[in-house]
Amino acid sequence: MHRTMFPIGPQHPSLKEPIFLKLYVEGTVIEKAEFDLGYAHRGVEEKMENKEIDTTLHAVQRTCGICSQCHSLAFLNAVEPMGQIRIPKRVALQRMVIAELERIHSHMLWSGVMMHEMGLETLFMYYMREREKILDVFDELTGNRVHHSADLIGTMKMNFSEEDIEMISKTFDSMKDKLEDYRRSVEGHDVIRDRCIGKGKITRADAVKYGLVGPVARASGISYDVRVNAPYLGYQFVKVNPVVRTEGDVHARTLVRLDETFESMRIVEEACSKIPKSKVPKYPVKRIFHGQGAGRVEAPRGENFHFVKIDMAKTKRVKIRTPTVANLVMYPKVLQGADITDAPVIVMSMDPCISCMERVAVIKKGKTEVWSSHELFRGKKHD
Amino acid sequence: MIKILSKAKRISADRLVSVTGIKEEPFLLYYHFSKNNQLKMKELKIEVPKGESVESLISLYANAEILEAETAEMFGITFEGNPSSGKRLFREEKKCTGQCFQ
Amino acid sequence: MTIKKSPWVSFYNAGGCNGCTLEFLACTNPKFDITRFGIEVKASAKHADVLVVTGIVNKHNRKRIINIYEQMAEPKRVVAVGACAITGGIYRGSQAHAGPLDNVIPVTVYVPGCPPRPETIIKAILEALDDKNTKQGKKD
Repeated sequence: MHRTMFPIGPQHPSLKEPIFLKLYVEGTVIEKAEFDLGYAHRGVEEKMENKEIDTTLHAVQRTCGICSQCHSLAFLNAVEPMGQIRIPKRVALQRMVIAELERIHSHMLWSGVMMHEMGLETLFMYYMREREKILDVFDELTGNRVHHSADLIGTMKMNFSEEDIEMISKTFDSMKDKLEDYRRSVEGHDVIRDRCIGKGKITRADAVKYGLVGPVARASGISYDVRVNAPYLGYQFVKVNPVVRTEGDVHARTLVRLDETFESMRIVEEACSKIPKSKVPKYPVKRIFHGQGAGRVEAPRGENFHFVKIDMAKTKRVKIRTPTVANLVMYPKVLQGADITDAPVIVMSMDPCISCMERVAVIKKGKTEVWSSHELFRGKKHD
Repeated sequence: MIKILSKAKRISADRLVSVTGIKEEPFLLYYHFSKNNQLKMKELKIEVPKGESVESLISLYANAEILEAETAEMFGITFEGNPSSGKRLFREEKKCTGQCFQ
Repeated sequence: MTIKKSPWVSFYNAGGCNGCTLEFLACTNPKFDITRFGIEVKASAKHADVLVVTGIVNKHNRKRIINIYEQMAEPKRVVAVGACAITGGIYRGSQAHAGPLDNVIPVTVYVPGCPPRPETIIKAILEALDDKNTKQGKKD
């Protein structure tokens, strides 16, 4: 039996991040898929040992550029209970507004790149144009488009004013009609339906067995959302309706993410109307010396989990388990039996965020054992 | 080999959330479980003396394969019964130094 | 040899937090529009004049970067975007880090920032064409 190994990556136009996917193909059907990781490996967890807590917070926010605020919130959810710090209502609502705006921009970026994978360049540019308005909102609120770093332990760096809240409202009004129009296209357009319906199916039983999280699980019928089941921070003041579908294919995952965008806009507007008149507390609030705790939040891709151990006012160990790692076990199984032309669309529908996934501490020298396609055809390794 | 299957069965959770290793005297392993997706998670703390291997939870939770493999690679610890334990996923060297358990 | 205008750009993300990748991707938006200078982003390094690198050099992708650089044809320029590519950023000194990009391939223009804004990246690509900034230009 003659099998060809078809490599995708590490540098490939359809992947925004370096990952090496090896697909073993017979004809055009994929028999087996393997992934090779380690290209984005930076030693993040190792860098966070024996550092002051504020320094660690700064480093945790830079684990990922797309979902920076959710890492910050998970870390604070683990650390703040150790000092019995009470979070006032204004701080909780402001943190939540930034987290939901981040969810909107992440889903719009994902939608744009997904349309690009299918060859629909105009929709890609339309989504990117609308996404720039959200980044302008971040610029006004926090001073930066990416890596907002607006959180401190027990408090925040700024107060949102009345003009800021009006600006958010105006931005959403200018975006809503267009986003509804694009959603109608995605649901009804023939080309998109042909490429998405029935592909990459994950059954409900599989999703429960492998413990999947995020929109991938919600598109297969599991109604699990950390904001609903275990409300933290501002979600105690604003109710969230989870978006659930049952088909489990690529089309369902796309529609779940688009619907979550509209739900997030509603949550932001309701939260902005509930912000009280009081100001955020002055920094520093309290020092933390000792403790151990775990916290989790709902990131745009699923459940994000942090485990923190503090000793003598320094962080001894930070463990991050991102939603991409939780869903990683499903990638080879969902690609098996699929056609090779469907592979980029299926991989993109699982929404991998490779930079979040690879942060394990490493270790020193050694020879490379990764085979590139060049080495594979030659049949031997060379340095 | 350190047996943990019976302790994990007594917790009877729906989902394994994470496996963490901390390099201390003795080496510590923390497991976090989620039951009915409630706010507070269940925690299981295991002490591993030097040179021992640990029983894998793969027969109870299928996603333990990758979570245990990550910890195995970082600290050099072996999980008996996990086919991915000992495979190189995130780095390129054969054996570990520095953070290593053995 | 000089490049006068309309350079074609190839992009390599060497791993990092993806903040700089997002800002480079934003350069191709309708808002910042890099194509009005005649610049196109090409997949293969063999078609490119300028190589843009973001992210941290670790042991895994060091060989890939050298491989890609050697595939480009003369004249060629390199732009290093972001604090992680220039010095290692906050990961400097960690065991995964294999040195700044300078030690691996010769760099023409450095763009500091975490992440830098898209307007700065566009200006850096255009500055890379200027002969004053390269040793090759001085020879001719």
